[in-house]
Amino acid sequence: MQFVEEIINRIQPLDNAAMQSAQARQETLTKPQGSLGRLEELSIQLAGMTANPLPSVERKAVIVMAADHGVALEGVSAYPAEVTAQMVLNFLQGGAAINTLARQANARVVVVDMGVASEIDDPSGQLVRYKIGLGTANMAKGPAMTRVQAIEAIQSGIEIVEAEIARGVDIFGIGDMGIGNTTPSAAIACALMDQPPDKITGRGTGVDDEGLRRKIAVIVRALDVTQPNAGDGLDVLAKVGGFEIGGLAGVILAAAANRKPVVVDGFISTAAAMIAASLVPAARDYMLAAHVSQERGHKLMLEWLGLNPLLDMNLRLGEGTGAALAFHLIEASTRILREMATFDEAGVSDKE
Amino acid sequence: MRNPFLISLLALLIMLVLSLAIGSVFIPPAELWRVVTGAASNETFRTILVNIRLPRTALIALVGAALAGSGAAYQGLFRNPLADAYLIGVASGAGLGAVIAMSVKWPYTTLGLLAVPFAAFIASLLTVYLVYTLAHVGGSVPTTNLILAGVAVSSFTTSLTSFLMLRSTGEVRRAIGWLLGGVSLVSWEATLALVPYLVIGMTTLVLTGYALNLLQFGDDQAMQMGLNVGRAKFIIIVAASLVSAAAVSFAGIIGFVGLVVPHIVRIWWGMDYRRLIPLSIIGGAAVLLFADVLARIVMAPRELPVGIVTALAGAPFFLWVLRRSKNQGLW
Repeated sequence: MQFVEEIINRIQPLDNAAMQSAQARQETLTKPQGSLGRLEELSIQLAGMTANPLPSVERKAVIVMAADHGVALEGVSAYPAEVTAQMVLNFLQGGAAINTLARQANARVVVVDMGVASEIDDPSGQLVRYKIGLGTANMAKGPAMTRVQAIEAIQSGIEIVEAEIARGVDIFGIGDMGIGNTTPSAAIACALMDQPPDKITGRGTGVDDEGLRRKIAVIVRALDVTQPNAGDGLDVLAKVGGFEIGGLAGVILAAAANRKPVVVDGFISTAAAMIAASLVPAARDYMLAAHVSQERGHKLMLEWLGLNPLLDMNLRLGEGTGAALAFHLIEASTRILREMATFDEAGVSDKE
Repeated sequence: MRNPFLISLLALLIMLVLSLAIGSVFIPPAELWRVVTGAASNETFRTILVNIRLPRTALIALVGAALAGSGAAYQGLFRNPLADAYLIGVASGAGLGAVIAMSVKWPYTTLGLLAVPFAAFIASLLTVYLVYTLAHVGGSVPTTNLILAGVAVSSFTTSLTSFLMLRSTGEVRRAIGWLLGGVSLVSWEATLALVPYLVIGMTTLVLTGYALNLLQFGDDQAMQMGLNVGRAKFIIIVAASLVSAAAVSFAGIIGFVGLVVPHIVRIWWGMDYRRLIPLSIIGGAAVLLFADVLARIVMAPRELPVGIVTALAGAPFFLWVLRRSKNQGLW
């Protein structure tokens, strides 16, 4: 509760002076003005976030949070809930998609147990343990977690970010792992955007038509039973959210409070971003959308957040994979700003 | 001190403001007022207040009121200064119910998150019923029997609770937190669900003030003065147990408030139960709010379970009041 209050209070808008200075530099670099398109915009936005006219995002971390969901009992996923714990072990052994992509992007992967339904035996000693509970309760029958647990989840994300910043991390990516977690994410989006579930809900890891109908019915039921209050992000998180979603919202808020950019990955990360934005609208300024996912509804959610995705690659894996890919573009934008010569430096004539 | 209601309500108001204003982010009272009146206010402060602090403040105030109100009634009923809701098994029963509910592993039953408060509430009332039945001899319920039955049954259920905690592996930490009075705020709705029990129970207790006054003369005397002693005792026990069980089921076991607040009220404002009960209700809310503020700032940004603070801060304060009081021999 205390950390959360302090972080919420610390989030500031983008730094205008740094943005103007970055903009001015972009205009003197040896290329036609605006010719690098969104890379230029990106560098200016990063300058505003970091309050640094020459931002650097060299040291990167992807925070991957895992948790289980009581709603998985309703048969909303193509996989059994045990897969969550098995995938966490895969992350720790470095064999998952996110490990490969993060290695290529030269990013740390921080694997967090936010509430996997079993005790994870971790020989690597790398697992960060913030188990809020052994999975959430089934939101189709009542709130997924208590309000106190929702606050604890956000607080965990904050603590993780503070520790990573102490290690010198410049930019965060967020990712998720949790069987059944597209269901709470869709429910969050429906509650906050006031949209019907059939417009938002997609196939997740790949349920069939029958499964999709069941999933939509479960979301309708959960929203009906728990009546989340769209004006209260914590209420939405507690009633139809998940522990990893709360944790990722905490990561976003803490990154924003520390003026660090945070790259939002797919459907679940975006639901977390919506929770963060509903608590602190100014946190949106620190979000970068990595990609637009194949999951239905994701595009609407990004529009609601006012985010323009960098990639459109038909990804639907989660884990932070899109964020790791987007790191390359984001870093490219900062290196353009920092390393390219100006017309003066290069002795090239500017246009008349 | 004159006009005790004005003073205690003022204290409650101050504690409410403190509870909302103090935290890792200080919110000036002027800003509080702006949020309350809906005037244009700082968005960040509004989020912190409405989403984070207000639900907790409301629950704490309700729980404090319930514990102190029922404590005053039990003290009057038993004519025993050490009595509170916990003497006749409310706490030990609730603890047993809660630990049983917590040892049921994921996946949750249909009750989901309400399983723990629900089990605590039911087990608490069952325990009180058991105590009452055991104490019942030959058409009456002698006070000594109630106390002794309460102590015996409480020891039994407490041992069962410890046994279950030793046997279980996973959720022991959560159970300990609960038993120490870690207020678990399930949701706004769950807090609101408490309100009817508390309002009905506390209203009943306030109305039994006259009966409690008569009971101070002893059962026989009270009967001669026209009180239906058996019925009065029954109503007081039911109302006080309902109120305290509802509070304990959500807040865990918070000691001291129910015991000490009625004594402070008694020292300052006298023995009349028609005033003692409502003043204890108001005072209990104020005192628990104060303890909760301390729980937040003592180890900030970490928080202590409020149950620890009530005794840590409450005991010295109570002793100070006791030493200063001029009327010796309250009982």
